[in-house]
Amino acid sequence: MPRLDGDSVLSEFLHHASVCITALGRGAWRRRTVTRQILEQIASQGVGSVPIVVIATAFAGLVVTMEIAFHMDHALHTTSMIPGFTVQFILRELGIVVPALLLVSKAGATMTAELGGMKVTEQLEAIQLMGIDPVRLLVFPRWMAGIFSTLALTLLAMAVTLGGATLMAVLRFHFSVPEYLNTLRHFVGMGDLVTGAVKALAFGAVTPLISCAYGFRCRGGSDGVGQATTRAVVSGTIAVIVLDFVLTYLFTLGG
Amino acid sequence: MKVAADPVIRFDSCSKAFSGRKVLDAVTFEVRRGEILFVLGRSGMGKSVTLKHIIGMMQPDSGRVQVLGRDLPDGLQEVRRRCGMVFQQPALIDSLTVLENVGFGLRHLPPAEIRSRVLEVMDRVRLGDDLPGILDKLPAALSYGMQKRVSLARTLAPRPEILLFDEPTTGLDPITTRAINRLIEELSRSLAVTSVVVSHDMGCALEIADRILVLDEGRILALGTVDEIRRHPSSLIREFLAEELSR
Repeated sequence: MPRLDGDSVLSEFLHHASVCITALGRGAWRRRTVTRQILEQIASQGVGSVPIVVIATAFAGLVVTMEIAFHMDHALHTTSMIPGFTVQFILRELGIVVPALLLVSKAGATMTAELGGMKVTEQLEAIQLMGIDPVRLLVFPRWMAGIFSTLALTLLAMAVTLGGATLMAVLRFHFSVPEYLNTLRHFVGMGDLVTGAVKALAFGAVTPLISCAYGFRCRGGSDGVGQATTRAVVSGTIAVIVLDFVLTYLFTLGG
Repeated sequence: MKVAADPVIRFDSCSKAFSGRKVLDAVTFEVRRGEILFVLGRSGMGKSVTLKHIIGMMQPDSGRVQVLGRDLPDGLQEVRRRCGMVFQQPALIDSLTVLENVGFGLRHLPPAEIRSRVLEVMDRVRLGDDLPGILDKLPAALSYGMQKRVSLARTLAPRPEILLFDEPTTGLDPITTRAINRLIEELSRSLAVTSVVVSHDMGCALEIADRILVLDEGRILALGTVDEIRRHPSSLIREFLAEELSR
């Protein structure tokens, strides 16, 4: 069935999700042209976002150590637990949510603008009329690249945030590096890493589809592209926050 | 001009509304094999919507659309394979070269054949003299008029039986507009395809159309040969004609 202009963004999102999951199940990523497109998207979304993720998460690491130290000192009159609490917060929240939000605002906005531009210049219709599913052609590689980039950037963000947090703990709160890292071992378990990986996977799978759905539903000229991009960033941001809540709730239920 | 009597496109009491406003109101007409039908009318009167119904990008709220003997949307894949559409804008894919764009609908063919078909259609749209220089260029490196020709070449490459033109000369200067219009007529005649052209250009319609369909407020105001349209008493058509004469 053709996609109709009256469809909502939600139905577009669900359509994209079903096409992408089906394509994944059929191993569409193995085709050489698709692999090339996925790699190009990883370069654009993932590699292109490294500087912003590194800068933002390094500062986030510095800030979170200061905040945790301040509140610990205030409530417990000790800062000895800084490494444990900081690392748990980084691995379960900060190191995952911050890169996801940055990807929504950078890579997601780019995706919506690109696809929205193609929509208003009738490129999507032209592709469809030549017998090619534009979702498989354009959304699937972006989706795969989004998942991979989010996972990779989450790992990077965790490492950089930890680095920033360690630096602040050493410089301001007089921990030694071996002492700091040694304390980590008592607080970090496999569960923290699994939580982080599942959240990153969920953010990476959902947010590119939101960005693409807004691009495909874009109407009007450049004004319409701007509006679609803004809405995509807002919706993607809310989706990350809501998903984070839901997953955190589920993980805490399971202990 | 060789027009067969059998219809290849048939609209049967088709209605379509957007947000309660009727854009097509029980529209019934046929397009005969091999003819050039111009669809004229003011902006927002259902011309492009009519075209999108033919290619299955929209479906009527009520009524039936039949193309090449197939009821839509059931035979959509086959209909799309046998139809080509030229959009208002060139609609070339930004990230692909001219060669890749024109050969986009031929992916099932071997590379050598794709290239030969691309060269053939580029020649047909009068871009032969610019070859091979432009084949590896991205669309952004071409003038708007050239992009339109490349777009036309892309549409012709899979050898469609029906050509649909959605205001093909929008945004072009008068000289390029005339050249594109001449190209539409020449291609339609030489390739013996059926053409439906949505346009505002009464002058061009009078020059190259076999028949003209005038839409107003979602209804058919007039449908006939060029001579019949010239003699039509409707004030809107007289206005269109007067404007053309004043040029």
